[in-house]
Amino acid sequence: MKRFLGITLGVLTAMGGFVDIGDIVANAQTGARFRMALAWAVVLGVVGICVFAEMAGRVAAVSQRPVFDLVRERLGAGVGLANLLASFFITFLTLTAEIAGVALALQLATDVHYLLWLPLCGLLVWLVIWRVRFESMERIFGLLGLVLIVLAVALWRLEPDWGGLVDSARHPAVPLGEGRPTYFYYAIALFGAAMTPYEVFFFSSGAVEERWSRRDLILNKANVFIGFPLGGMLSLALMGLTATVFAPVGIGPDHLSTVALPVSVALGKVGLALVIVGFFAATFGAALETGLSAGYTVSQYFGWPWGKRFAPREASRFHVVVLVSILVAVLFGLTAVDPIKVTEYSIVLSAAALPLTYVPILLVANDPDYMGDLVNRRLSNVLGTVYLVLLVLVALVTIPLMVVTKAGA
Amino acid sequence: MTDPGGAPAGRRLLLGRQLLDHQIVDQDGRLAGKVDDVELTLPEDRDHGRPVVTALLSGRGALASRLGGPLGRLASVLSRRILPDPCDADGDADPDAPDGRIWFGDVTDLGNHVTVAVDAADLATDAVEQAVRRTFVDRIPGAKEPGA
Amino acid sequence: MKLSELLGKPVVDDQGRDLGVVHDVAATQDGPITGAFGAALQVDALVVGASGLWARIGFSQAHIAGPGILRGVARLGGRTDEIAWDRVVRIDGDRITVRAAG
Repeated sequence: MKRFLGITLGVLTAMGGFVDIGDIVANAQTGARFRMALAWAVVLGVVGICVFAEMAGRVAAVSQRPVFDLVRERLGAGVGLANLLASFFITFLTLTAEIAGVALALQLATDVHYLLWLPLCGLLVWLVIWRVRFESMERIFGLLGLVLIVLAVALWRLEPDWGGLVDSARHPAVPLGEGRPTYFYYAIALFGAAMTPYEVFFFSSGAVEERWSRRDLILNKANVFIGFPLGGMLSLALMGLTATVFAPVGIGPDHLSTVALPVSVALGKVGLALVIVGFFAATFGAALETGLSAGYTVSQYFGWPWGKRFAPREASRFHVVVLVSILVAVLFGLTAVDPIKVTEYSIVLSAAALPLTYVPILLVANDPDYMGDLVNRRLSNVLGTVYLVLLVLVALVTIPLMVVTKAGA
Repeated sequence: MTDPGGAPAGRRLLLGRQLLDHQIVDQDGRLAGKVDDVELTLPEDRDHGRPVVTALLSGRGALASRLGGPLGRLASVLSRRILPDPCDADGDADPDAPDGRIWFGDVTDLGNHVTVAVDAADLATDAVEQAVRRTFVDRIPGAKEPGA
Repeated sequence: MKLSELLGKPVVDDQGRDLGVVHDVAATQDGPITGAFGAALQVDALVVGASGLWARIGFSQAHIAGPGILRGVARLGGRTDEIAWDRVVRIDGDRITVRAAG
């Protein structure tokens, strides 16, 4: 049981990459508009994050240094700063959306407007970061988020046309009525969401918080190769659900309540309650992940003491960054900015910044000064390089595509 | 390329790659900022004798001056003015306040991080940490113990 | 002087040829004993290479360990050479002048 719980870091990290508020809506929308034709983008993202998260976890275990800590060392202070500003901005936008997402899940449960929940949600997220041990936080929210398996159960219960679903996944064609640019815009959104920078920052910092060492390399692999594919699977289940329920009718699910509908259709009140709990846990987990990442990235750039494993006063600047980020995120959220739009923009913008994040990981994972004899083997390097090329291509087309498609309209 | 520990004389280092922007760790293992710049001193006796690495520079605007440009210079000046100077027990400005310079003789190890035989509390970078701790963090309940 | 004042500075020889910019500074541990560190580090060479973005983002050849493909990419930035410190003639605000080789 203890061993099983050891993978909760990977699971929790995957929540932020695959089933946070942005992904929930993105997967639901693509399922309704494209059926499973964009499933490949999710799979591509899962493989990519697995390759790099394994490297990041190994670097953290062997050198006791999380990935962002090394960005400045390898790329220099100037480029490192550009990286910090871009990453922080994206992480902050996502944090805003996630806290709003938690409030939206509560609105779904209670019919009280989400803006009224927002400050309380911000406070709760901060309190958990302030007081709850890293390991406990990871276990609780990692496991609670797994409740979203109810999505897969609901899909199975609806007895969908499996052949049709698989077919649309294997023959990714742009359906009638949709343009090619829009298709690729959503592909980039899904792919970018799977590989958002804060996932690797959180995962590698978490590995240091958990005091992983060289002996934990197998644990690292288990976390990565179970956690992220699990997250991807939940994404695809959601895509399948909306493909089955909404695509035939042509509605687009653009609210959380609409997204939950197929589950209550399949599994009734119990299913609905479970999916709300799952949404709450997944968005709360993602809020923790992004809130902590905001603190991790700034502190690690400047070399300040950081982390939850010390008493807060020993890492004062780190905690102040987290607190201020959450505060400003709540205030921003209270302006009634649409959290879905905010995440969409932040995902797409982060797609433009991905190479900056992943280049230093590949460099460090190959550096014997940090890794000793545990440098990358050939497979990691081949995959890593291929993905880097892909990320550069994605970075180049993202903004033009966003403009051309008017952000996927 | 780098050996941990001590001083096997004769080893060769690339200052940009192996020293600059690396993490500084104090004698107790606490994180204490990054190497923002390195001080090189030209010996006076010979013309263009080989410069000696005499100190690490960390905090107090060193990074801002290095990144340069008008914004960097402004940030550097501001950080020296705004950031509180550490006070001694009577609350007077402390003339021994750390100035962001760590004498290179205090460096005990150069691996991927730089270990110094100094207490982090005595370094310039910690001055801000202490100020933040006093002003904000210590006032929030629960600041003194790690989480439950 | 500071290390940051050397890094990135253009280097020319005394015949006016442009040799590139400083990518890094090499130092050997053979100076007088300094505190707990032991023998002091003394600069013995400048690592000089083509100017530009490549070096600034850490792809200078001096910095890459690892798989052939990364080194291949680093090579796109051009070669780097070492110039011994004793060839340095003058350090100005905007350039470093060295004695020509040979």
